[in-house]
Amino acid sequence: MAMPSFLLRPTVLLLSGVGISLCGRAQTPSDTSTVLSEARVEALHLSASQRSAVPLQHFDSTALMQLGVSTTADVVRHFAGVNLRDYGGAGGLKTVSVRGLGASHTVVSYDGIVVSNTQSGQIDIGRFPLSQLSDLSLRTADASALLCPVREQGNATLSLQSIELSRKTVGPEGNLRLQTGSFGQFNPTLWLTEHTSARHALSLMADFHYAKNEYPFRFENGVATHTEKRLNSRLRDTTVELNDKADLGSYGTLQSKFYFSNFNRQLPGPVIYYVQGNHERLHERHAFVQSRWNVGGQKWKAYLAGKAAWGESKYEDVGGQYPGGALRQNYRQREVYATGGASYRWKNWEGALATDYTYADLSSNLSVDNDVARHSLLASGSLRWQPANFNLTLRLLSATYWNQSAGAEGAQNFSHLSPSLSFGWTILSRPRAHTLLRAHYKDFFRAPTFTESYYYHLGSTDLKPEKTRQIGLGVSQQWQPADKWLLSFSVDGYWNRITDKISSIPYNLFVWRTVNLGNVRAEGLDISGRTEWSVRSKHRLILHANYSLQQTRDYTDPARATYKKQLAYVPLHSGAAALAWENPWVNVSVSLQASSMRWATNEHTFSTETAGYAEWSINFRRNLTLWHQSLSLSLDVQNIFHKQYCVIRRYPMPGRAWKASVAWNF
Amino acid sequence: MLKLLRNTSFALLAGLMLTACNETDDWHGTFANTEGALIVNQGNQYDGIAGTLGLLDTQTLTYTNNIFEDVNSQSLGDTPQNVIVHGSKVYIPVFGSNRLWVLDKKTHRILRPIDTNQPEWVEGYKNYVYVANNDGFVTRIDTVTWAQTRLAVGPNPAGLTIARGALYVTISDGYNYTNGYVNGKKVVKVNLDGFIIEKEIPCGLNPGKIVSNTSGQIFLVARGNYKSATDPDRVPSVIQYIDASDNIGPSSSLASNGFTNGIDLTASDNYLYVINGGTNSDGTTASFEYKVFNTYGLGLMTDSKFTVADRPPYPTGIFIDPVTSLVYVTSDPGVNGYNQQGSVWIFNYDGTLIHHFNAGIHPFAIAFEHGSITL
Repeated sequence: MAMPSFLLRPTVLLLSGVGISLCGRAQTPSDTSTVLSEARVEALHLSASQRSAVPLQHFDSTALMQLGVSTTADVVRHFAGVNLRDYGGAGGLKTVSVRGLGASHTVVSYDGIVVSNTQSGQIDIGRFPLSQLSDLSLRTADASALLCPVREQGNATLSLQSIELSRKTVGPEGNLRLQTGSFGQFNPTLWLTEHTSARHALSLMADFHYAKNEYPFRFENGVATHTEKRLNSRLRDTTVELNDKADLGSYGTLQSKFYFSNFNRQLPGPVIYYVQGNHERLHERHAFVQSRWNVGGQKWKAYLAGKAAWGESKYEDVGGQYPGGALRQNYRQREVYATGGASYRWKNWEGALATDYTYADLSSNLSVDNDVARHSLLASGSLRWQPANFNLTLRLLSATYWNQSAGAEGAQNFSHLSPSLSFGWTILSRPRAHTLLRAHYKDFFRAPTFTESYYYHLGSTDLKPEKTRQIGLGVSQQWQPADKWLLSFSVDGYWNRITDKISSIPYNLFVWRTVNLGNVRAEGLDISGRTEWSVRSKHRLILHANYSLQQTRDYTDPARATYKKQLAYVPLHSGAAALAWENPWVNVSVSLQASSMRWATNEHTFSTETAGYAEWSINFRRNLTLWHQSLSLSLDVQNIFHKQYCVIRRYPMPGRAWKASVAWNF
Repeated sequence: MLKLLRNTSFALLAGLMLTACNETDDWHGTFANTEGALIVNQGNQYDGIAGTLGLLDTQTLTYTNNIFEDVNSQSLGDTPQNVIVHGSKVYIPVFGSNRLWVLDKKTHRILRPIDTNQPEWVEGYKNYVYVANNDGFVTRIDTVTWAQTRLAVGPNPAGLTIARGALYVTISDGYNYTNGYVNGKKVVKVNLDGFIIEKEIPCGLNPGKIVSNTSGQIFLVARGNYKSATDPDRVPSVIQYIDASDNIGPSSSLASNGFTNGIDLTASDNYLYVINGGTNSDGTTASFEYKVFNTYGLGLMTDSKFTVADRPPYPTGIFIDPVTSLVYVTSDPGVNGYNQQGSVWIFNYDGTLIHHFNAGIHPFAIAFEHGSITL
């Protein structure tokens, strides 16, 4: 007797990485005498954001396209709880603060290994062109993965993932992309991958970005408004990457990267009354090689990773006021980093141990600076209890820092223990609905940077680490009201305390010093939501929106005018939204970023008020095949209503601008 | 209470403003008086806050914070350093904006903007004003034709004063701190007839503000190397003087008298006022001391009332009105208040507090508008 045969044909409703509904339908066999009844399997595909016990926001490559943005900074604005300091234009410094903690608390990791800047402690995310990235995520309060490098277990981590080498077929593939736009932008990118076998791939990425960047802006002076140009803004950036990814079978995976960048930038500086132009330049070169080996199965996992990094920054300002007619400050920093860890799962329990060692040093051409170095040893132990619908994670992190300064007193050595606790409770789990309640507590710190400890006159070797305590509570929900409609949102509240805040203050009339001074309280609400609606066949609408309430106030001294006032440049309200229409012709995305007014100083006076803004942009994109070649076309019109505004006073943002790109995929 | 304070202050001010023109007891005649005090609020260029020019009406004690923009409908610019009244005009060097403003003294309307590189200080003498440019020059500007002449004086000139018919320029070489300010440490004396350097007078490390009185006495601040008090290589900020033979002081006897330490100063014919201090090592409090010396023997006045508690929280400058002998101190609101609304404090010559009021952000310099009254 012939066995009844049937074919379960899954119908996958792809919901852009956020939700997948699996449907199966029994087929009528041609020779059957038995007809099976229809079987339908439904389950929401939960993204990592929806499963994480700590707030995690994530955009994969599809979601990035739907946002319709063209820079990494623009993507970051679509994360809730973020405050992006943007000094304007393609070459302007862009740093990320999360939940009122300051940019030095935000860790940036690139392909799984932390990018460091021991000199200033802040990473310019403008260094990472969006064209090289396939995935961005922001994790707040703690690492969601139990096993990860200790440096990623800090207050907030922005993870950048370069384009994945995922294809398993042997042979070359590549992408040549040419982007041009307003203000003399010219940005070719080449990405070549050679799959030497199904288990091994090599890739080369080369990116060149030139922009004259002299965009016009309006500047108010009394009752008059002048139109001026940002002069001395040219950037000439080159980035080259070599990536190697090997699947070692039962021995795990090995991923390695060599990175080199050469950034040559003129600095326009702040807008100064009655003065046009500037003479400052910054030439930065960075190189690193990093490698990460992951291995493991269902029960145990382990990893080893290492990195050697070198960076050079050459600052120059030309002017008759300087000896020899120019100020030249050259800094070199080097870093060696190693990390390793393992985890084991037993029933509902999982434990992990990880440790990091870092050696970093900094030297300069200035006779008043000493060569300084720091050894740091971090270790963490983590334990997770994960019965059905519940997980509780305990983590204890130990950090020890040893500082050295050649020929002079080094900064204070110190040790710090940082406990953290987080739990996630799935209070609703239905085929079409999922609700997670989560909470966390974290005690953490940041070490003083080399600049804060040693910079001539400004630095102080007596500094203690800046400490933070965080408490958060949130809910994350995803549901599918109809077959063609998916909704997800999360609401997270937090309560942060910062003590021993590291600040620079005037020591006397002439010179400043850096001290541990000040207490800050940050309370806020992060709300993000996303909905997708398949209007009809091949037509989808996707809306992503976020809103941040950040009340970040000074609690240092009741006698001060700044007491209980919002910190400078932290907006009370901010948010972003993007609406995408996917269709067979031209995909369209409209995006908005907005912020309420801010203050330029911690004291709130009329002269320090900085206006809020709302910037709208639109993006058109189309994939097509011409002469058997796959092409991707994109056109952005940024700031379509030509809004004149500053994120940081005196650093105007560009007005209306366009950007067009064509990519040839081969 | 406020009205009483104001009336009392006004009466005291008015009384002090009446400076006799002769030595008889005849109070009839024409007397110099002070009509207003122009206050430069430096703002904060880093925080994007432009400077302002405030005006205190010394008759009514009313203060207008932004008289420049009120009158001229445009900004004063970034980081104004100083203000002087010379003849019928007001001159304001604005460092960040590379500009010297020339205003009408009565109306405060702009008469002329003059482009000049990084002006640090300005002084007037006869038909000229002299500007210290941070790029190593003093610019002489004819106040009739506005013709400019530049004279190279040395790296980073920081202060100017005119005394005994000559211009004295402090040369700090402040941007050369990595080499110990090696090309500074001097005061350049400029002959005003030929506008040439007459001599160089060695002085302490990193000289800055320099003042003189009508008696021709010259005092300056040598700011040292700013190192902390515990640093063995510290060179402290000291007050020095230049005697009639252009020799630098103080003598060792004066140094032992506690004369030397100070970060700012001002001088009248009779008194030299010195402020010393700064932020304490705790980073949250500040300590300042005021010393008053008589200018005849440079002896310390022990009966100064500047020692009482009700003092400016974080002084940024000290100035004296030569007509009334009132001492004005500009101040930030406290430690780390550099970008916040400051205040101005007015004292009698002996340190008795008369009045204080809120000014703009980081008040930094004062000039006095004088007129005359006939009784």
